[in-house]
Amino acid sequence: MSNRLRELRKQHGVTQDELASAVGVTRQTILALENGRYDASLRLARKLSCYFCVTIEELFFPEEEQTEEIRQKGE
Amino acid sequence: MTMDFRKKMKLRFYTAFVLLALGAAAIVLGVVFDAEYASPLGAVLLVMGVARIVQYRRIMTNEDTLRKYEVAETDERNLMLWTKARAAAFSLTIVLAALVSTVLYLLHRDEIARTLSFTLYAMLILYYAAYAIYKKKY
Repeated sequence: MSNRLRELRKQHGVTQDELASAVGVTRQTILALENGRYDASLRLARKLSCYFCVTIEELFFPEEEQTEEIRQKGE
Repeated sequence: MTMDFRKKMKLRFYTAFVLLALGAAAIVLGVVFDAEYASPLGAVLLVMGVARIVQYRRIMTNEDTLRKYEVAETDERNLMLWTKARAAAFSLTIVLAALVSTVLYLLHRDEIARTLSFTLYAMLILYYAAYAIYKKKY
């Protein structure tokens, strides 16, 4: 799942360490999230979206093809 | 910093003294009763006990270090990694034990092969029991 974590973090002028400390995870987890190697749990996603004052959907989003596939299955 | 984590660290700190005491006791018993494996095992436990006491003392006297440890232990990615590593180690152990057990039977080392096989069966039974319990719980 893609995310805007790095973009928002830089916009807010926050280091990975500061962000990790604020949401209660290690810096390595923030790094893994930014590099797309790890998907956050709902709890962590909510904490991050609260920190940046955005919705979860504005912070995390699946690839366009996945979204389309899921949408078609729902119809 | 949660009080629960501070209490947990204190418990580990005191448990390290138990480890140290067990190590010392094993060394003494090994010497007194001339038991081959007791003294080296005791030495290992003693060293582990001392190392843990030093480590936990260092952690508990520094708030920043204590907090970093709490974060590292509750970090969801770390928990995921530990769970994955344990699962992989378990799976590989099962395969390895099965292979070694088979080889031992072929080499007519029946008693060792049987012991290893029974250990393997016990591990599998425990795995399925744990799975059933977790399936009901979650």
